[in-house]
Amino acid sequence: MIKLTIGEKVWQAAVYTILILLSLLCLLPFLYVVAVSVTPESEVLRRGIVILPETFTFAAYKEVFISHGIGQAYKITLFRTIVGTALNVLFTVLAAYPLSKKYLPGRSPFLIFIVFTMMFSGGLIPTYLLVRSMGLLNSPWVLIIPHLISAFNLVIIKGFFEQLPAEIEESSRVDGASELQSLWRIILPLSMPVLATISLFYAVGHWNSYFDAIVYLNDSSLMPLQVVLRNILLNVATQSADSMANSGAVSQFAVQMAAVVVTTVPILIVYPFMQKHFTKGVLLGSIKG
Amino acid sequence: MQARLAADAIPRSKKRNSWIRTIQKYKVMYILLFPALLYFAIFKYIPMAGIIIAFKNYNLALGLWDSPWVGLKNFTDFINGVYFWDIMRNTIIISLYKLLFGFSAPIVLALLLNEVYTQWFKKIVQTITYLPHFLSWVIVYGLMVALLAPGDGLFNMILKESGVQPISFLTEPAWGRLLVISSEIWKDIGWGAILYLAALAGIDPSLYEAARMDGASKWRQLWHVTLPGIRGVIILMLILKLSHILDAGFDQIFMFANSFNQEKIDIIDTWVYREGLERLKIGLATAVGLFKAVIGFILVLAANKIAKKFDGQIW
Amino acid sequence: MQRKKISLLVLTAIVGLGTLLAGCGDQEEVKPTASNSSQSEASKSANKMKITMFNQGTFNAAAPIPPREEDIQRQMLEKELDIDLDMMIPQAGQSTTKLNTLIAGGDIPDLIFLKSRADLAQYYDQGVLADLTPYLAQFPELQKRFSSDSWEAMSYQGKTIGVPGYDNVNGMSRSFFIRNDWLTKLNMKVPTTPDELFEVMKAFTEKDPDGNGKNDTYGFIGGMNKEGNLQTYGFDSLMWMFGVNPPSAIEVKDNQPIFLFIDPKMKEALAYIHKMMEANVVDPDWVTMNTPDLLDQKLFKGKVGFMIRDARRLEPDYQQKMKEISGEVPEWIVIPPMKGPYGDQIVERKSFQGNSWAISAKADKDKIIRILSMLNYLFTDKEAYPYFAYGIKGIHWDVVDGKIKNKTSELSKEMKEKYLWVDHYRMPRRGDDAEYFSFQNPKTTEAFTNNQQYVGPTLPGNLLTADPSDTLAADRTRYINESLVKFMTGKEPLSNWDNFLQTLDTKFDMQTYKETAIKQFKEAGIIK
Repeated sequence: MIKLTIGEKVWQAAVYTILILLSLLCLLPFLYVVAVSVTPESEVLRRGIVILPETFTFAAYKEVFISHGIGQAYKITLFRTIVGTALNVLFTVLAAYPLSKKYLPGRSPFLIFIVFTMMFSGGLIPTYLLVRSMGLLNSPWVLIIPHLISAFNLVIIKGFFEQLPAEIEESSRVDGASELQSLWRIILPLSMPVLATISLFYAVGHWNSYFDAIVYLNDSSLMPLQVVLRNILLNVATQSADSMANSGAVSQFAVQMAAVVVTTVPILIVYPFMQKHFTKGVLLGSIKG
Repeated sequence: MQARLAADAIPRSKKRNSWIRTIQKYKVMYILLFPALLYFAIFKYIPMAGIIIAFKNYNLALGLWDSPWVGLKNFTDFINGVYFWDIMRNTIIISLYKLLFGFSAPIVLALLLNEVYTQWFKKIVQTITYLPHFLSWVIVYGLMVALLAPGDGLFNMILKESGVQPISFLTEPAWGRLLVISSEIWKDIGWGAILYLAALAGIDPSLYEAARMDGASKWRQLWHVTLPGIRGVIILMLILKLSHILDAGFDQIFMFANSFNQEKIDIIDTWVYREGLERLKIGLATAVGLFKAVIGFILVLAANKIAKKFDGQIW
Repeated sequence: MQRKKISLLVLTAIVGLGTLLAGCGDQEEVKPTASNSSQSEASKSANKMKITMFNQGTFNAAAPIPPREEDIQRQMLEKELDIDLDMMIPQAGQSTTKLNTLIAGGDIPDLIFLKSRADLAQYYDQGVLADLTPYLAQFPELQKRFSSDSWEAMSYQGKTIGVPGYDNVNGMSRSFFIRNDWLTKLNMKVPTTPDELFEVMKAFTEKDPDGNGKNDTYGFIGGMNKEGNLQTYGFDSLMWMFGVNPPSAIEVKDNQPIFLFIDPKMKEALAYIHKMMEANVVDPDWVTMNTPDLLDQKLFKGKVGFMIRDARRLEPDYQQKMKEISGEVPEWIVIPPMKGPYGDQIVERKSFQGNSWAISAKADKDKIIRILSMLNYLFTDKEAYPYFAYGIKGIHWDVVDGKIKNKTSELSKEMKEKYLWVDHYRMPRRGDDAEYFSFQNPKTTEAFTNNQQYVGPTLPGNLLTADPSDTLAADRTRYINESLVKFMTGKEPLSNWDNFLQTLDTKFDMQTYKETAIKQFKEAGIIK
């Protein structure tokens, strides 16, 4: 261990303090959401803000699973997240590699062609008409194919590829490796942190999106988790005053929070697994060595 | 005449030959690129024909081609709105603040995390700060009400207990923008830091070792190793953010706005929602979208040009 | 080493992908068989017609649609009319977008539930909806089912373009709740005029009616919705004491339209509310009350002495909730509305028949008749009524001693949750069906019955439709809403009232709006 000077110790202490405070600020609201989901409504209303419930009840979770078809929605969301992310990353990397080569003729126009789509779009209805004419409506693939490549992620990954030292790749090319081989053997292993990041971006994007499902799918059994969640969140506000079904002991608030927990926890778990690819410089070192 | 034509023909075919040769030389590269170009052409450029809706009085039954043309009427309706300057000002101010603070906060977090050598602590902080990204604005606003409501809000109850006048955070126009910007920072600081952490992971550790050998202080290491290492990403993200300068965050503002603070936080998108989408004026909504895109595109072109000086350009 | 790891990663990804694809394939395989079977059924009778239904009128949009074999109501409709019914429940908050994309794609649903007259008129103007005038004569029972007022609301440019969506219920959701125990404790009478009400609210705020020694009670709480509209959450009831109401409330008197939101009497109403604000009798949380359930929470907590809530909050379920929260059941009673200075005594105006069923312009004559037959069956068949209005026989209702008995309130929570989807079919329930509501507390029935005499006639202004060339409509509404709130809170002194009216004319083109209103009233024959 390197000995720290006093100044560095103070600096370290400051860094840790700031990070702990920030973490508390981010964690407490989430704990509140979890707490409300397992607390009877009367207690929440009586106490105002609950972090540690006095009484536990899992009634809200039961309602979320029984009445709202969460199981089927999980399947759809897993499908779009896993298959979608795999295809997204594949096609993004394939395109980013040639675009990262500054010597490639036509690179600039191609990049402008792609970046242009980040701002200009025909809007919802023309896209809908296109998707419809391709026969994708009401198919689970509509959740994947129209979002195959994100220009944003493509530009980012291209930027990372560009920053890799050119000499490493050149030396492999001298050894007679083809472009594809050097992409596979040199570029990708060196880019694990950004690959992990982009995969996470895509996965979270798939996990969180609801709008495409609402617009392109009619069959309620194809609806992903976020659509179900939104229905639960927004329904309280829009529910017809004439309904008589809405008079149970379970608080709608608790059901909402339970739905939030059920729909977010799986994707939260992904991040820690991904973090191991963020270990500083490990890959670079191993390649060089 | 003929001789001249023949003379012209030679360099042209030569030119074509050189084209073919280039393509052959980079065959693999172009093959790799092809699926992406095809994707963007089909899914982005074909629907772009729909931009003509901006110049039409779009009618759902008549459709894209048969709806009547109205020239620039949709644009003039937008500009002649009573609140046009208000919403433009609010959009730009909120967007700039978000750019200034919302953009730099994740960088600062990533740099702070970079200073942490205890791996488990770093991972936990990373994971926790990433949590709020997954709470939708509906929930975040619900939390805000629980904390900041003038009567039963936790914060104001504490103020009242200690004899201080409660503060109308949620309705006072002066608080509106502050609330919008700070909640955005809170929500996306951890999420935004991920990309910079990935960039930091790519910095060669031997550079730090060398700097330390030279006796460089922490600050000098930050200045000469860390920041140059992530400069490319920072510039890139800045350019990309500029493309959406007129999107100040519909989902968020739609939740936060009310009759009291609206004057300070009503933005273009919430106006379009009220005037365009709720009243089936799809032409108007498309026109405003086009307006926003043009501004964004101009900014990106300019930013890219400037970025060239730092070798951080996109193309 | 590293490469091996990556290849392994890719391999697992591919395997995972493969299995998932297979799983997905299964799903798709299931569907064709389902549609095959329906096709074979279809071939049995050549006349079977596929009808798509866009049902945003469901009483619970979050309830998933069950499979056909469990869906008794769907089976009934399909069998009775020999149709293949494909019902779509749009997702919360996105129903307009969904409907618009369907229409733009040429897939106009055959039968569309529309929430407002504005929607009905807009879609008709865009050529999406069929004119039903020539067909309705064949359905005298359906015509009889709804009042002439309701049918009038379906008429646009001299044509009938919709069938009423469902009965509105009046005298229920805007009941005047007051704490009788607080009145007793403070030795006060039930208020009958605005001034008496003010005194009561003031006493509720200042005289510690709950006797806990803390200054934590309030006289009143109301709210406003997300759009800033004061029309629904309590302040509107206060304004009715003066005979006025916020935006879109337009009355016709002496052949002239009267815009109630800018009527001189509105100034008095605002002054009254401002007086309440000044005296701090309004719970400051009113600014955050933008959904009815937030107001309900205030009712349950029992720190506010007077508010406008649904009479059904007197039901045992809610009384139980109040007990759990505050330890005792506050003695809420529903009182008649106060009589205002101009003799107005109004709970609410009779709801306008805003919602409707409309039929696609693409439907041919046969289809229109089949759909109208379906609505006719849905709304008028006596035997089918309990299946639609109450739910499943033996679960939600049963025949006891030869009479139909609604048992929904006795159902366990689990059963209620299991059958949430019966809410998709409840539209035929009659607004005056006591069995449907089957109140447990006689006081609820009493409040509901008493309120009926204070339900005023529908406002004719509801018939007006937006003029597409009126480009300032949304801005104007915003300005009116914002200004009313500013006058209420005192942010803008009432001495600026004339400025407000003038700005409306100069900046927001109020004059054109008035002229459009007169023109439309003339067309509807309300103004001669």
